[in-house]
Amino acid sequence: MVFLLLMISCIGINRQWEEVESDYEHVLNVFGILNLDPGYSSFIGLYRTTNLNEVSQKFSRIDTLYYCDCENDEGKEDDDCWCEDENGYWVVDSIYEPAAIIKDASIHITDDLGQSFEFNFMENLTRIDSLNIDTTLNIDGYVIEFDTTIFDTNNIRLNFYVDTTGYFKPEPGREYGLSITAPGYNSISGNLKTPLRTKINSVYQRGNLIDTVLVNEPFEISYDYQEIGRALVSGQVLLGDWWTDSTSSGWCGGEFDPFMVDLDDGELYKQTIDPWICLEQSEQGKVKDYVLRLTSMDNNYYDYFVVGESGEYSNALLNYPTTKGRSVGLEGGFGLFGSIASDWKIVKIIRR
Amino acid sequence: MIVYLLKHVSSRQIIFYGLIIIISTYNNLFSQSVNGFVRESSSGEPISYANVFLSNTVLGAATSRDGYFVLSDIPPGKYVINVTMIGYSIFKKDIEINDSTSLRLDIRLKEEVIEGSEVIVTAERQKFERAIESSQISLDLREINSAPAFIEPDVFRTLQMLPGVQSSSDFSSALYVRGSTPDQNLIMLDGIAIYNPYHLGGIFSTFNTDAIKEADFHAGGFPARYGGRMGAILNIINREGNVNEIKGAANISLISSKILLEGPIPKYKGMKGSWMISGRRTYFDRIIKALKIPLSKNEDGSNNYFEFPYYFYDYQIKANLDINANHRLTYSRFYGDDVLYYDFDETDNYSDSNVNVNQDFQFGIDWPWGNKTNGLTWRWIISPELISKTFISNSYYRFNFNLGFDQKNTYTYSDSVIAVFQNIDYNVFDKINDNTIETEITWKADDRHEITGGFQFKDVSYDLGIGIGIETQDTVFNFSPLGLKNKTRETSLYVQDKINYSDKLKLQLGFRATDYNLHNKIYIDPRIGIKYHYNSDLALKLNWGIYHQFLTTANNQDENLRLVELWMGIPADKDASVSQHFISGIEYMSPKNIFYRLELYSKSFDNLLTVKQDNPNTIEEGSSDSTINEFWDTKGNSWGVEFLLKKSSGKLNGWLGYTYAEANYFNEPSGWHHPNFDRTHTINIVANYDLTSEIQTNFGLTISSGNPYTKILGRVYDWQQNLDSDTYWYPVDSYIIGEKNTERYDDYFRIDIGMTRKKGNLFGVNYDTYWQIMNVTRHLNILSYAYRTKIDPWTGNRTGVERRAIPMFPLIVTFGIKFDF
Repeated sequence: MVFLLLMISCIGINRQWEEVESDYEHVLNVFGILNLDPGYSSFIGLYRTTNLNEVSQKFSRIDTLYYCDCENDEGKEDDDCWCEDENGYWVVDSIYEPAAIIKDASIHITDDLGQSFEFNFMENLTRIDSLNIDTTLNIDGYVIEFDTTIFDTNNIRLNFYVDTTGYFKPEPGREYGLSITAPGYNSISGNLKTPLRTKINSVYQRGNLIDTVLVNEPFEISYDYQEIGRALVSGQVLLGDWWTDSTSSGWCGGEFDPFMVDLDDGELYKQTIDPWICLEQSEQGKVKDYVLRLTSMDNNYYDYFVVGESGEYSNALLNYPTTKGRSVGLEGGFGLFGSIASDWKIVKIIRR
Repeated sequence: MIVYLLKHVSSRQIIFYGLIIIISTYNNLFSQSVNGFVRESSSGEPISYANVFLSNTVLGAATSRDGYFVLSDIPPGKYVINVTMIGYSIFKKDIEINDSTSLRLDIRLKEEVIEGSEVIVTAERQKFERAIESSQISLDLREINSAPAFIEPDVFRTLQMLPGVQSSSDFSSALYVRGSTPDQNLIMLDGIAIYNPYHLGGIFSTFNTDAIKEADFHAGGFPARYGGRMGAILNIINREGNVNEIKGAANISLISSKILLEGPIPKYKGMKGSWMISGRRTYFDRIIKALKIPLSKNEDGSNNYFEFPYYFYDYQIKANLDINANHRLTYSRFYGDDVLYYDFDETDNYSDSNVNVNQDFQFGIDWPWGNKTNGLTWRWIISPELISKTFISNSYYRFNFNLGFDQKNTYTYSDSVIAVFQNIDYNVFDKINDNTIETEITWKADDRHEITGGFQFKDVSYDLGIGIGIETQDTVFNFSPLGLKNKTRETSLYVQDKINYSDKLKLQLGFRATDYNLHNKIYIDPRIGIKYHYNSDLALKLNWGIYHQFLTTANNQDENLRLVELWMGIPADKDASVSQHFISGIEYMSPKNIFYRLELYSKSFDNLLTVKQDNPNTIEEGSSDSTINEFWDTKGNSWGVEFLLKKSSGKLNGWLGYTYAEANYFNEPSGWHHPNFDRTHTINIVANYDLTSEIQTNFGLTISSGNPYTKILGRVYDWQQNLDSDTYWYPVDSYIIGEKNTERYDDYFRIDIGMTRKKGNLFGVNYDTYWQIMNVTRHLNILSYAYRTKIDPWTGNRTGVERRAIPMFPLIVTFGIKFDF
């Protein structure tokens, strides 16, 4: 009897996957950046919200990444490994882009002098670089599924509205307005004031002005004082020759979490950077280029990316973040109308 | 302790004690009374709500929870005193009262098996006749054990079957009472506050039912002697222990084994007493270890065995010492811990012509959490009408999560050895240390007034924080992204007068004044109770009161499962949380002792604190990874109707409850919304039927509206940034959510059944066997939904979203055996 009852208790409750349907009115979804950085275009991305039972991101094309397989037959690292000898393997990645693109909108940017610039839809824009990877791993018989996004230096195709005349050149400290009308949707307006570009002056380590950073040690950057404004400090070791570097045993050191600074804090126009500790002992004495970046941003950009949305609802079982729908610098739809202005400083970084 | 008292006892308290002595002297001079205790003959346990009366007079009283009674203002003469209680033979004794004397009687009632229907006066009727508070119910051990249990009987699970009490899910024994969250409930064990009264993330309560004598539960409108919380009161009273002989009981269930021992303290110079000790431990981890289930092989060929990394245990001690007839000391201790531990160690070696590399990686989790309490109570019967209780206690709760990664690489070259290491320790902790001293005086001034007054001084330290330590061969780096330390003091004075205005009308007026050290303010909580006896079987009740609370929890309001509660004192810049209760009700006790109660309640809440949820985008300099010290100011209200039918005696006993409840909370981001524990309609049935004198069956049914949840409506592109050597932004899908908690899961339905077979005998030891089946119908009760993205296998396009219910309890069968020796 007891055995029978135990057997019954092991029988789970039958549950089925069911489709989730949406029941709401769509609104326009804007991502607009006025980019003051030289060589970069300002753009407006225009989409709409999507239903739960429709395609949200569609396949665009594939990209490839090369991985070096330097394990010998015994599973140990092979120091003589050289990937050009075809010891590696290629991974084909799928690239996706938003499916709900609005292509037939009328978009204008107006500056504080009253000049209006029309932005037109362009396909296959480059310089914007992201990769979505859908990967399934099989480890010891366990299938692990995850979606992630990684980045490389290849150009990929995205569809934005841009100034095709070449006359639109946003300037620091100026006010700009945005106007969007699209058939079937509420019109959108937006405005912002572009940030002042702030210059990185010097890099210090162990109290000395330096041009080469030692890994695994804190260092400081100094930058211009501004009466108002905020900026993001970030950095990256440049691998240089992508093929050689990414197929070698790799580099570590110099990475750190990007962080915000108040540019108007006169006492703190210096910031200490604590890079992550790297335990690798290889590549002693190797030197790389190290780019440090200070990205000033307007209030809209700051609110969207730094302050973020105050979490109102979270559920780990959703497997995606949630939002009530953010409108930052915009009225009439979701999204962002923001601006950045950056300064870079390239120094060297050396492994001891 | 003496130094502590000298430091903290104020002049007000000295005046208070002075008044006691004056009143005591007055009482001793002029009263003629009979007083004493009523206890069980076999064990010496006090019997509460026994009926004590003098034949051919109107003089009578019910015993208190301690079994104490006093009949005052008795004219001199000869009387017969009677004591009756269901399940016991009637006690009768001739007594004589003289001028200015008090007669002390300590009465033992012998157990007697009688049919309940034949008994006119039951404890239920005594409670019905005496209690003025609304929404109060006392459950004895038999009733606690009567509800179908999850693996083993649990007082919280039984309380969840009462009207007005809701649960958030099957996995939680936490009590959501009339719109209040569990942190608004004052849970006490022998009067000592317990801050996290759960094991295994709330699946079990910490209270071992074998040791419980009674659970006194107030769903609202509680009197002035209780303060500091605004939801409900639950006071668990442990058994005092057998005063006659050493007895024991052991219980083996599927998850744990329990043992209880009790016995007398040897008499010494007129002093006597009793003790009780009980303990419990889960043994799943031990069984798994003993089974030696291989998990993997080590390099040397030996096996790694699977280990279950969790267990809990608790023990309770209670000892009573009657120094003489008027003085008693009671020591009570509780210790309960949950322990989650796991460690992993991996070593790897490789070498080439130049270097030999040894890599050692260790990962470990060490996570204990639990409560430790100690309390000492001094009961002084100053005069028959005047009793004081002084109570000193310490309640300590700690939750201490430690996560560690240690990596060490040793490079051995031909001429040197280089070792590099990196140790990362992550620690989240919450520690509460509560020291309380309290004195309560109960004065039966005359037939009309029973006055209770006292003071309470509560000193609570909170330490809630996160610590991160990183150590390498040349760097040591420690920081605390969160460190909240509070030291709060609540100093309270309270007075209440229970007034028998007439045979029909009873009042209970009281107030409680509390000084909270972080606020320059004294909080006044008036409490009023009115009871009108329409006739001997029917009574109307009204209760109103204001209730302040000086602590809160910093848990995510949307979490489906709550492992621990993160407590903190109300900060200096926030007002104390406050609630107002209004309760009206009608009670009817049928001639067959079936109790009916219909109550309407309305509650308001203000100054609640709802923790802001994590914001993963925050990269502000100096900001913490957590936002548990940031709150939305929240207010709310709740109202409802509750019906209870309770039959406490007879072959068929149990209760039926129906609740209509509505709770609404408001804060800035969400607007008005139902909290996620809100269930509109709930029907509960708990029934026990004695098939024979040896076989008891039980049945539990719960039908209720589904819990609210927040619906996802659609998707929007949210953007992430990359600003380093390159500049780009990339879209990610985010779900657009609807208004908070406007959807509800399907209705909840669960039937549990069980059976106990008594009077087994094995080698002279008596035993009972029992089994339980939960969710007999295998109904799908939804805890939450899991979502997944539908993907086109050819293109990888995300074509839609699917969801699947995560169920609460499936059908579960449990069984166990209990020995008495």
